[in-house]
Amino acid sequence: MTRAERRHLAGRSFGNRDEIIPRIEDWNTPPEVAPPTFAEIRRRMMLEACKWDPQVGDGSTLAPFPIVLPAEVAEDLARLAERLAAEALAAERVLIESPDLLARLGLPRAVRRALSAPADPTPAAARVVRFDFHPTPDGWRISEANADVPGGYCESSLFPRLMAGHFPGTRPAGDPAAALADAILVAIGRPGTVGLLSASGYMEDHQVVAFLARVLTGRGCDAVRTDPRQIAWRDRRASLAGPDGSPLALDAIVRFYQGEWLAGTSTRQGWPAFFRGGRTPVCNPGTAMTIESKRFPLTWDRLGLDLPTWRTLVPETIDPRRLGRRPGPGWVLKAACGNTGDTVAFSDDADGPRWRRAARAARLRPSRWVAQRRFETLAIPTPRGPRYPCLGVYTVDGRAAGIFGRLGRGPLIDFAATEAAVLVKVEPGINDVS
Amino acid sequence: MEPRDIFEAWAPEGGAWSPWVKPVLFAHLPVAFRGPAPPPSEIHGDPILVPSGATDTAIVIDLPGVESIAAGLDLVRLGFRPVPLFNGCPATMIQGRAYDEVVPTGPLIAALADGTKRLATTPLPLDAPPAFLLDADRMSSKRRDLRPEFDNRWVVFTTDFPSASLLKDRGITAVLVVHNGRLGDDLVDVLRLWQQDGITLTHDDLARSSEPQPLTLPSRWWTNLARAARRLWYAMSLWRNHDGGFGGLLLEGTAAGG
Repeated sequence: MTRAERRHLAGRSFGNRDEIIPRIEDWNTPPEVAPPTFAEIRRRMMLEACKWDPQVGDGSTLAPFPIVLPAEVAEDLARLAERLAAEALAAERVLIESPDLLARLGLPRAVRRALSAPADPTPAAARVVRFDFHPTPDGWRISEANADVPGGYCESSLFPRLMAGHFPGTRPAGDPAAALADAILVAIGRPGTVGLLSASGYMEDHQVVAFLARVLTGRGCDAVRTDPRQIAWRDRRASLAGPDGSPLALDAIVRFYQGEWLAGTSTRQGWPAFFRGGRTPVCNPGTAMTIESKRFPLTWDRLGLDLPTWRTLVPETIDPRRLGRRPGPGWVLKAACGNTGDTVAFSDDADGPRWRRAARAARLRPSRWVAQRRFETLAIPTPRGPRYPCLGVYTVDGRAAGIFGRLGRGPLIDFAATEAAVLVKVEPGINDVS
Repeated sequence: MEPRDIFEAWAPEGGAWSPWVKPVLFAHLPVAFRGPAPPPSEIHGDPILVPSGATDTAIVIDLPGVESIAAGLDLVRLGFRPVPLFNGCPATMIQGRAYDEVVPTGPLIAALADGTKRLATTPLPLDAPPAFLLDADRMSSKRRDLRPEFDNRWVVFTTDFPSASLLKDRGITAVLVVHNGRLGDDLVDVLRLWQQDGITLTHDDLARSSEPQPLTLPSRWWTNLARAARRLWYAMSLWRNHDGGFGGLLLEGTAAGG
């Protein structure tokens, strides 16, 4: 990044504070669609959109009612997400050139080495980031960015389209899968061979790449689902063995396999090329781990960038060493590279085993953990009682592309949350374009 | 017949157990596959010993591949609703060719499609007691040749089944497990949870050709020890990728599986 670019970003102010008001009183969660209608939607999600975990235990993962947002709220979210993406990608460019800042992110040593290698960053087939917005009494809040391997595509692409057909006066909030596939095609210049990576045996991950593979295949690509450890990097180009064993060159890679997991494999096949030195474009390249780290806010003051949107939306974030042994309520401890919420612990329950376990781990390896002020999420009324919403806004190459809606029974959004289609109210003559 | 119709036959709308049917294989209909797919109607075995009209009993069938489907369809005549829980993903296709699969899914898909006829001719009430179908080969790995294979092995989790409280709410107080030889540890975890919550467990081990017996699960410490030993075994003998990884396309045929 040039000095002028840094000055430009550093000089930006946040601007319109009204944008961060969620106005949940204007949201609408209409009555559930009729059971036979929803059964058909659910069936289409399973058979057409690779939604292969529609049932977890005794509960359905798909909500039979949508979240309908006023157009202004959806537009505010899109603008905020686009600014967050622009600021984050600018920060990433600084971070990957600053070994001392990389050391503050709590990334595995092997990842830091790969990020510091003397080679150009591996090009992006597309950059997709999902920002999970929580409505709070103080406005929208995000706790971090899902910048490495965001999921939720089928639930935010086909699901809203199917639901919108039953709620006149609404439209889907977007189609991130289509936006991502289109961006990849632009990057590779033609419908080529795309490898989609996920960990074997994890159906909830596999369904994500299976859906993206279908979307890419629909655009004329050859989409190959595989495991990252089958990718061989030769002369900086990625390939894998085809069905007959002969090498199959890849034009692009979609990675749904966390960066830190890559670092757990041998370097013999060249996994560092997912970060630097590769010529085959990757979505997302491994450099995304820098802004995915929960410790990213701890680098802000040394980036030379202002990051006004991040500073407005992210609660106070500190090194866990500053917490002390009995921090009092209102703090969250989480691992720098945690992905599933299972390492998140709340100081409000400081005597509970979860906090004690996290606090012990943070004392042992404080550079791998972070402490963040807890925020109070607002609940919305739904046909099934009050629920805590989380709206994950995607950006693809910097442009807002859709919203992944989840509803939790409690403020913490985890695997048990229900997925809800996010629709936007159509104002006649204003935003009735979809 | 359309994939939707085949899925609807196995997971009828309004069916008490339809939400638990795993959709992944149905989402790959129609599919081309290599090798013969024995239709379930041609698979013979000892009939499963279940009292007809036992509405308080659910069944878990943990038999290899299409045998599980055949047994499930056989139970239709006794009033049980087969609930397929197959969760292995078929291999990816590239330029019209599919990778070989570690756990072959083609025969399963064919058997599910074939079984639709049987289900259509034997109407069941929507609340018929369930017979959950599993592939006992879900974690097996029988290496056939040196071509790359798509690793689609899978395990079951407690969340793949209804909870004990829901089973009891629907009048199910007992579960009969039909298997042939040793039970998988993943299934043992599911059964243990049910047992802890008051479900009575019996089993019919076809390898022993005996009457159904009360099922005694291995103790937790033994299960944990076995799990650790299994991990060690994987590390020492599982077919390796170039870098020793577990999963993905299998490229080398240097070791034996089990």
